[in-house]
Parts: sequence; structure tokens; C-alpha cells
Amino acid sequence: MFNNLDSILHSQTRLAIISILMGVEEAEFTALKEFTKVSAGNLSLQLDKLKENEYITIQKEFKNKYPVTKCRITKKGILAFEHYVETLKEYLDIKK
Amino acid sequence: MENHNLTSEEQISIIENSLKHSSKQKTGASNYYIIWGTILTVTFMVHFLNTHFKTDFTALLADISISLYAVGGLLSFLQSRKDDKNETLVPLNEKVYKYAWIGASIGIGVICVSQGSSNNFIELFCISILLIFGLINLIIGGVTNFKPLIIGGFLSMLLIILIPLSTIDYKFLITAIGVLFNCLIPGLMMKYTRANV
Repeated sequence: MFNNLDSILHSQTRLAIISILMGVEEAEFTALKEFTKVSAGNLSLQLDKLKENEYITIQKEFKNKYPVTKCRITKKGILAFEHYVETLKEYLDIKK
Repeated sequence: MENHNLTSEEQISIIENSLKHSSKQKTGASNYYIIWGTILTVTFMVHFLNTHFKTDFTALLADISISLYAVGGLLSFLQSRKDDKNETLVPLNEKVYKYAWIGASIGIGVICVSQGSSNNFIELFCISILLIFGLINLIIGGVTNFKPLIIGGFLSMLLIILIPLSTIDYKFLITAIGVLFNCLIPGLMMKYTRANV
């Protein structure tokens, strides 16, 4: 049924992460954790998967002496998300 | 949030909720609008009082008011540190504000340096403030869809018409009113309304 949908984005957490990143310049790990309500370990796994596929970039830096992880969506990620939404729209049109 | 096979309704709901969450993020620009709107309005008002009434007291106030720029710089620095500390999601609009106001500062700085010795520097300075601030707020208001900035920017540019027709004291008063419309009032509305700007 969802054969044409990107398997990387076809996950609740990863889809939420990419959708959040579509609307912001960058997001910190803590903000993504708060929004997705998944454990830190699970979120790290999902972020790594997105990073491996070059959908996002992850930057680690220090803010007020504390380490922070910042995520940004890449052009490839934007295109993948747009394609995902288009495919979803097509599917919904067929369903109607 | 668990991972399982998603239905199309769930997918749409996730996308909708996430995008709504992102778009609710405020940039924090209201604080800078309030800081600089207040400082510039007060400074121009004080200069109006000084050139209009010409008393020792207003002259003293005018001298003191110059130091408000340093206070503004310090407050902006402290505010930016506070923003850096608390901001975990950086809204897309933040870059619009940043580059627009860096451009404005450079523009005003260049006018001050190049035309500082000009005979009609005050008129040029007042026009530059109203024109640059008005133009920037009109564009930012359009990009962020925030009407008070559009209206403020437009009014600010309209006030320029009156500057060449006024005496030096009223040039300061018109500029103070312009800054009130294009910085302070939109800044307060940004802060105390639900607008996501």
C-alpha cells in the first residue's frame, strides 16, 4: 500500500523529526526529545539513521560549558520530505 | 512516540503537529524592538525638548541621552546571551531579522561617518532612520505576515515627507514618532500577542 513511500521517513519518530526540522533553522536534541517524547537512546538511533542517509546534519558544540547537539535538515532531507508528502497526497487522492 | 506501521491519517497528523509546533516558535525579536524602540524614542524626544526649549536642564538631558546607546548595546548583549541559553529551536525567521538589522546598522553607520560633517546632517540622519527602519520593517512584516510591522514601516516612511518641511526641533519629534510606530509599538505587540514572530 505504501510501497512508494520513503522507508527512512516511514517511521513515526523520524517523520516527526524531519517535519519539525522543516519548520526551523535548527533544533537541539533536547527540543526534539521533548516533542517526540521518546527516550534519549531511541532518539539518538533515529537521528543517526537520518544522518547516515544524509537527511540531516548533526553538530555537537558547547553552550555555556554544556555540550549540545544541534540538528539541521539538509537539501536531500527537504527533497525527501517533499517527495514523501507528494506520495502521501497521491495515495489519499486514490483512496478518495 | 512508538514506531509501528503508520496509517495515512497518522502520518498526516504527525506532519501537521510537527509543523504547527515549529511555527509556534517565537524569535525573541520583540525584546530588541522594545529595547531600541524605547532608547531611540527617548533620545529623539530629548533632542526635540533640547532644541525646542533650549534650557540648561534639557541640554543636560541631551548629553545624558547619548549614553543610552551604550545601555542599549549592553542590554542587547545580555538579551542575546539569554536567548542563546534558552533557545532550543531556532525559527526560520531569525535569520531575516539578523541580516536585516545588521544591514540597517551598517547603513546608518556609513551615513554617520560619510555625512557627519555635512551642513544638513541632522535632516539626513532623521530621514535615514525613518527610511531604513521603515523599509526593513515593511519587508520583515511582509515576510513574517505581521501587520503592525507593515503598518509601522509604512507610517515611518510617510513621515519622511514632513522632515524637510519642519524646523530642526520638529525633525527630532517626527523621528521620535516614527520610531515609536515602527519599533516600540510593533515590539510590544509582538511580545504581548500570540503572533509567532
